[in-house]
Amino acid sequence: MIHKINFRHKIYMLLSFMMLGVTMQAQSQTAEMKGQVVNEKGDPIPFVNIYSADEKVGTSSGIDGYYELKLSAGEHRLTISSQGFRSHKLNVTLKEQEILTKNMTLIEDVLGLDEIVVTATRNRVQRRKTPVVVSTVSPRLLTATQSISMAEGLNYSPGLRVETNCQNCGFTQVRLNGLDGGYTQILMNSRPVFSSLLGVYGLEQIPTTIIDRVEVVRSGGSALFGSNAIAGTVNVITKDPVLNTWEIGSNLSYIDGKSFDRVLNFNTSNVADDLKSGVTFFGSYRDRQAYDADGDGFTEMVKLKNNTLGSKAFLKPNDYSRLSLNLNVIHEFRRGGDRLELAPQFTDITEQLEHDTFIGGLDYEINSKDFTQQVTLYTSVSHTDRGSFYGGLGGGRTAQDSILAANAFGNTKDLAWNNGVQYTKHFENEDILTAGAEFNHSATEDEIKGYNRLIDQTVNSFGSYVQYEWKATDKLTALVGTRFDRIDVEGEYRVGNVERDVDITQNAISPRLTLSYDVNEAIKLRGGYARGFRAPQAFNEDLHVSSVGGEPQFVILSENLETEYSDAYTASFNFSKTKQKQQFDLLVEGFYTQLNDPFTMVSKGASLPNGSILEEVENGEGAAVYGANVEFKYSPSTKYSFQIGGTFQKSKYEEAQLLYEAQTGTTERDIYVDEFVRNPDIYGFFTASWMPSDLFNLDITGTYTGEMTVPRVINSNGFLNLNKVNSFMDVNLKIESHMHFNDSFMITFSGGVKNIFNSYQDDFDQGPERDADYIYGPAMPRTYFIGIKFGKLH
Amino acid sequence: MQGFFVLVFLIFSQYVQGQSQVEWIQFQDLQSEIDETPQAVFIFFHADWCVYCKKMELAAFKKAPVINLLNQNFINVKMHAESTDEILFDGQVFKNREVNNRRQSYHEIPLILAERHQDNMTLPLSVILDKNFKIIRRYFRYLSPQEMEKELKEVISVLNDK
Repeated sequence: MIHKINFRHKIYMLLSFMMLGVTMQAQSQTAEMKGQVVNEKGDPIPFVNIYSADEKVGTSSGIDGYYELKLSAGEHRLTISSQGFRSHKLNVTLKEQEILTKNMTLIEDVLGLDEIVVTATRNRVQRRKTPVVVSTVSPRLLTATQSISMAEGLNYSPGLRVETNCQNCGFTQVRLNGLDGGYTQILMNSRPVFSSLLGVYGLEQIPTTIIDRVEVVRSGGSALFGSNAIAGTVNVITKDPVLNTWEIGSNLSYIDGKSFDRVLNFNTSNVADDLKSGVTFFGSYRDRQAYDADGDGFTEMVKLKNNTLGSKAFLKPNDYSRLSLNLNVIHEFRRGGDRLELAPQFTDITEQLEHDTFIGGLDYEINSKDFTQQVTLYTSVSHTDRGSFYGGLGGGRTAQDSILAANAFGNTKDLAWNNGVQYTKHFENEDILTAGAEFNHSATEDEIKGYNRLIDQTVNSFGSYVQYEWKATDKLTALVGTRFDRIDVEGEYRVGNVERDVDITQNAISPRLTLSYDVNEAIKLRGGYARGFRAPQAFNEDLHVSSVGGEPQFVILSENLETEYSDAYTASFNFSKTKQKQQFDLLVEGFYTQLNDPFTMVSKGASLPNGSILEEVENGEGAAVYGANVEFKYSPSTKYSFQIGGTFQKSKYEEAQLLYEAQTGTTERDIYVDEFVRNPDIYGFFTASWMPSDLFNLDITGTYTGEMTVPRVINSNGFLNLNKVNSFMDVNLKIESHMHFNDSFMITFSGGVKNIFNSYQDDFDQGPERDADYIYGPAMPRTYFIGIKFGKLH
Repeated sequence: MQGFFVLVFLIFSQYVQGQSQVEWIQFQDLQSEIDETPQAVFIFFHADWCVYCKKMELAAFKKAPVINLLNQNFINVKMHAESTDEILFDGQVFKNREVNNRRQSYHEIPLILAERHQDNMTLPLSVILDKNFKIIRRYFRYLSPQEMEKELKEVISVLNDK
């Protein structure tokens, strides 16, 4: 009989031979395990690896799924693995001469949920396995929503809302789980270089072309990332180059048939053939005309001109270390108000800002030879020079008005310097220890001589943290960590005839605990507690001067401002399943955040000598925000993908919170609220994508913002009305088509409509005495856009 | 007349320097090639989403020393790891069994050649086999032009020693 030994058998024999060689070296194998490995449908799985870590022996199942493994008597920890299936761990105990028959079933690996993320535990981990929930906003999502800057793209993550807070300056805020901008820490590549000032306008300044992904951790960020991160962290991770590429793109938007927004951007990468060094350059130019929604001559969206230039380079001196340098410069000009063609002091209202920002960072990473230990050293700096004008004639025409307007020019310098070191150790039992220390220095000097307004603040903070990730059992992981911070705030704050000083040193310990439990392959439960704090200091919204009722409105810290503390609890349920080509993911998360002594802005009315309005930051009543985030993702095949998410929340002050303090001698009364303003009880988003081929795709996306209460200033004393505003549904449509000419050149055309139903605020305040902060809802009216991108390999 | 000689010279110098690209064949054609002339085989597996594979195609596989070493000593096969072709080889038909069940569906051939104790299939994957179709080397990583050149030289001297 001719026995044909074919190719497959040759390989099998080769591998078996290798294994036989190994087993012969081991102790005498007197026991044996055998059986068949099948999948969930009962089909045999060939070439499955069955390996014993204790004895370093293994075998492979044959074409029919049957395997035989000779082992010595005793306990064994076996790993059963095969491409495309979830790894299976098994403990067996064998007696001498025992032949154990064990059949096994392997389950398909869940796909598309294997993204590697950095944020949850500050180490690179598969997203699905992170103990703390991390949501990612991928480049695909940023492209699908035609997000020109990061600010727009962030709306498509559960629990996140980005809102424009000011018509005159376009200042945006990230609101995470119902808490406003100051509670979220924005990081760039895990470093907190978004200083207070940059946080005010910074979101709009990051072009999406350089963003690799954005990771959002809702609540519990504080233990690893510092004092601000009570609501969570938004970590913008920029791209690492691999191939040599270049790309030039341009986008034109037509806002409500009235104003144009033009963007031109480029990026290029060059990486050495040995992958040991590489550099990326990118830049963008944006020119947006101002937009006046209601024809009153005053802008609802500001004129914006932005030039960004950046570079990122890396060098690997050897296989174990990596050095990386990034440098960015941003120049931005914004102007809002009326009669933009005139110099600011001749208009009724102007908010004009010119920013020159430099951001630079250097980091060095070194690994042990077996890659179980790692040390990272980093330093980053961001410096902003800002020229501002907040003021105008305000509807008046007297000489006094003119003099005041001419003196409303201001100057700000802001420096943030962040340094740190981090050590990570991976243990053999899969536990991970992370420890680190950071030193941050930030100095802000903001002066408007005409208003006698000064913010001169220096914050030095030292933080150290340690965290242990404990794999208690196969199913249960516990993450225990704590951070110790020492914050030193020294500041002088002045406006009009009001002067305040802060000189405070605060020590705080922020513990964190997260548990995650794998009920089975598809279901994961997580729960946790985190403590956070904010030391008294001027935050980004305090540096902004509004114009309300024709008067400028300033913010100052009240005397004896105390540190704010928060306790955040979360619990979540995650169900992930892949069935053949279908992918399904459901996340239900409940959150409860308790704020103690929260910083609250209380309006003191027109209490400054020249009639300017003053808002003070005080420690308000304790408050709680609680609710649930739900996110559902479904993809029946690679051609379709759907995502829908919503947040249901309630915010409540323990005692009614004062929002406006009536001045003595007026008939006005104090205004109180018992829930947060500018916070809808329900909000959410959805995305639907059709990708029939490489050459064409269609995306429909949208956000829903429920009803909320928005305060509106109605007279020049700063007196407020609390308006209940209606809900919004804004839907966007985008079509993209690609043309491949060859490997080196490709063109992409795109076009569509944002906010198809023109769901936009329709009750803007008008005229020079308007409340410029009375802006809420979707960031833009119906806007048509077209774009073109060409280059090599994107 | 001079122009003619220049042209001839240029054409010849092309051959003297070596070919300008690797002579890849499809796996489907491998059987007939090795039946004709048994020779060592170099197989490179890649996929659309594998960025490091693309980098190798633009770096190592475009450099003259590597091209010459490959063309002169091996039959070179380039195969798409997610191919859905049914390939007849050594009397057996190999196909992509996962294509209807999974998104990242590998063909049987790369799966067989990539078998390892504990690790899963990764790309780029380069496999070198001798003329008896026995696996000599496997590389589950990106190889720079220098590394590729060094590895090829070493393998060639091992093969010649036999």
